[in-house]
Amino acid sequence: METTNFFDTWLNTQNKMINNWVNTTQKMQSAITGGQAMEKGSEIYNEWLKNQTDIVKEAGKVSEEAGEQTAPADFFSKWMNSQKEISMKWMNYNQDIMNNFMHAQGGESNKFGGNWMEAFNTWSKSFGSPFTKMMESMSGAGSKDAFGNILNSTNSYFKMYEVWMPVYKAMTEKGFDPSKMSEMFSAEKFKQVMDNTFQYMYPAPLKDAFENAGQWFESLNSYSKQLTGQYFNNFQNMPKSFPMMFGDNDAMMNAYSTMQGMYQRGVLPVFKFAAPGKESELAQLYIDTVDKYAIYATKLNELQYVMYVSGQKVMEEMITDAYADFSKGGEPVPYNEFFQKWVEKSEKSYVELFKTEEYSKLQGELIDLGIEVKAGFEKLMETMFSQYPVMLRSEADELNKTIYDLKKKVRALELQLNGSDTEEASEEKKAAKKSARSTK
Amino acid sequence: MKQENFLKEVSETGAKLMKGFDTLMEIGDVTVATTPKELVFQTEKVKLYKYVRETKATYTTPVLISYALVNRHDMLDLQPDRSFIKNLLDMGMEVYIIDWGYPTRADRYYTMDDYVNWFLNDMVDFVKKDFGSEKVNLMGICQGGTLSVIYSTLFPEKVKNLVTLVTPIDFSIEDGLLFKWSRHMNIDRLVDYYGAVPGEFLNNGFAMLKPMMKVNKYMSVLNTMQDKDKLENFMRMEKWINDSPDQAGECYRQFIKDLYQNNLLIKGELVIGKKKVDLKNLTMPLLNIYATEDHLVPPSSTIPLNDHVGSKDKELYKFSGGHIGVFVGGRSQKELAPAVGAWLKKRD
Repeated sequence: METTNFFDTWLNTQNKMINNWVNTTQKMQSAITGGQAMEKGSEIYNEWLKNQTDIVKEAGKVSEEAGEQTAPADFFSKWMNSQKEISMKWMNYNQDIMNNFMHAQGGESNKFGGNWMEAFNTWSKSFGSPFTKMMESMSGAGSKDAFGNILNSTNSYFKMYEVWMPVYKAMTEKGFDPSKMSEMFSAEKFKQVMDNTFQYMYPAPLKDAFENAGQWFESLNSYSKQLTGQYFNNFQNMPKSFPMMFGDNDAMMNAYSTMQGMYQRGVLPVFKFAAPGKESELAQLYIDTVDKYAIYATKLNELQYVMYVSGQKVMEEMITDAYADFSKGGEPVPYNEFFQKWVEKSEKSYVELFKTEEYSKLQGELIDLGIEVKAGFEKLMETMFSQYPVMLRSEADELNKTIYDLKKKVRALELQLNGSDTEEASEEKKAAKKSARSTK
Repeated sequence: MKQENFLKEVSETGAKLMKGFDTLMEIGDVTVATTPKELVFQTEKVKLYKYVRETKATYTTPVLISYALVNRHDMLDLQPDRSFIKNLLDMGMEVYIIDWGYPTRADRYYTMDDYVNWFLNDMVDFVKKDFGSEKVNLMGICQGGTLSVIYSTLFPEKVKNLVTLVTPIDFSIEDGLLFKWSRHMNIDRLVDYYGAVPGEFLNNGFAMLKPMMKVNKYMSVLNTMQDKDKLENFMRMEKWINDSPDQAGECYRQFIKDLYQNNLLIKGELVIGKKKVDLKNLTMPLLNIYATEDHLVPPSSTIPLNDHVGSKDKELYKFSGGHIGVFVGGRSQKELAPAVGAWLKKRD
């Protein structure tokens, strides 16, 4: 197969597919704004599908004529299916929105916000998966990363809409009371916006690694499986069981200490039955690490809390400003503009927060605790693997230190040979003289 | 806001995403740092490159560039039409650049002493020998600038002119988040655990300096995703941002402890190897460039260098822009690079 021919065909096909999709989207937009989304939706989709099928058939034909050896038809067919999936979801999505909108217009205005929120909540569910599949065919890792980041930012954009819509609805109705604005938007939805926007701050991999390690350890030490599992589950369920603790870290810590103490009292007798040696050492290390992880999780909760509070303040300011404009007789700003303002205001607010001594201290503690957990986990791994014929990390470190020292020595000797008067060379010269004296 | 308008906004966003996907598929991977250069020297993982010149250099002293350890020097040559390096070459300079490499955990024991007295010193010696000059013009950027300042105080006889760009010197400032945050870091635990401090860890810290920038950036790029050229430029910057080498632990430990936490350089108490670093020993001509909007290294950290050095010929250059704009912005190419060239020519 001539690679150039294959990729030329592929690129050409891809361009046609995208143009087809963009044209269809434009038609859909016109249908929506013209209030004909429901009537014309199926027609537009069928037209898209026919065009898409023609494009794929054409691509297969061109490839065949070019005598390409691999199965391009299969390739294009798979490619088309991924496009088909996303386009179908896109059509359904638009129709859902329209449907909700029409219901709202039909006298059920009290459901207006809710319907819209549901519709927008489907965005990430509908598009995340097909786009992720399509990203697999991207050639450059950079392109994949960039598109993944863009997709993530659009998620923040849509999630933010879910927060904003009920406020907008309330604002356009009579009897809007800005002092009750915090009741208008969903804290849970807003938390999702925040989590999505700042996900790079939250070390999920650490949690995953730890949970995986927990499973691994549990399978190794069956006698403690039940107890550790129970303990871990209890801790994980705490936020659900005690929602009032959200934001109150002292209460969280007190509850945790009580639970931890109870667990220790319950488990310690079991350790006494275990044979002295690695198993009980491992179990103790595991408990210590779980303990550290719990403290870390609490501190992370504290940091997230101050972020949420700061974010909520910005949101309230946004609503106050938007209402001030609206009550002057204007219309609330377009959503894109609103989103942009939110980004700018949030930036200022977070930077102010980050400048405080309290935040710096909290962040420093969190990093420190996170590393303590990782170090505990590493110690656990080293203890576990100490009986196997593998080099442990600490042993590799020792070896690297020896290599480093030797390299420094060689360099100093080389410099000395070259007649260099550097500090290293003269140090080495002194050491050599001293050594010569002591051997006399 | 009418609901129909919002539907339009949403539809447009979807279409832009799809179109952007298409353009990204076409682009594939982007290349950076394309100005031709040759590897001329290497010690450990540290490499020295010499840029290829079509004609003989018109400056009698070669330029050696020392970039920061925390990011890659590719920033100076990100794209052909915005290349600080190409500008220097076009002005007639012989240009060498240090590539600090990608340290791993095996390199954890390299200290600041090694980076200054071993790697940097070897590079300077090689350039002198290769070009046939008694001294070099040292150009230090960001953290690489701090190392260059330290080097120039220890080896003033080897540096003809020193140019520092967005270089942190006074670490006691209150207006830089990195400076504040560093004071609350348990650096020993960090280095002891990681050995080589991950570039990703540092990158997350940089991202938090402008916490909403990621969202803003990626939503903004949606509007230019149909433009292949613009998207390629964006991708080059993305590639550079994500290319963050890990940091050799011991060097990082001293840099944070002695500088960020204890500000020893400006106090005259920093010890490298066994020698105290006295800024008064820095006596060669100095051009100190700072960026007014620099959020990584605020001007308040950079400017004080001129008050502490022994140089009589010293100049402050104010660049209106940010930390990155110094190298890739339009004005960087049109104004800053020629200004650096003229300053060096006068002292050549």
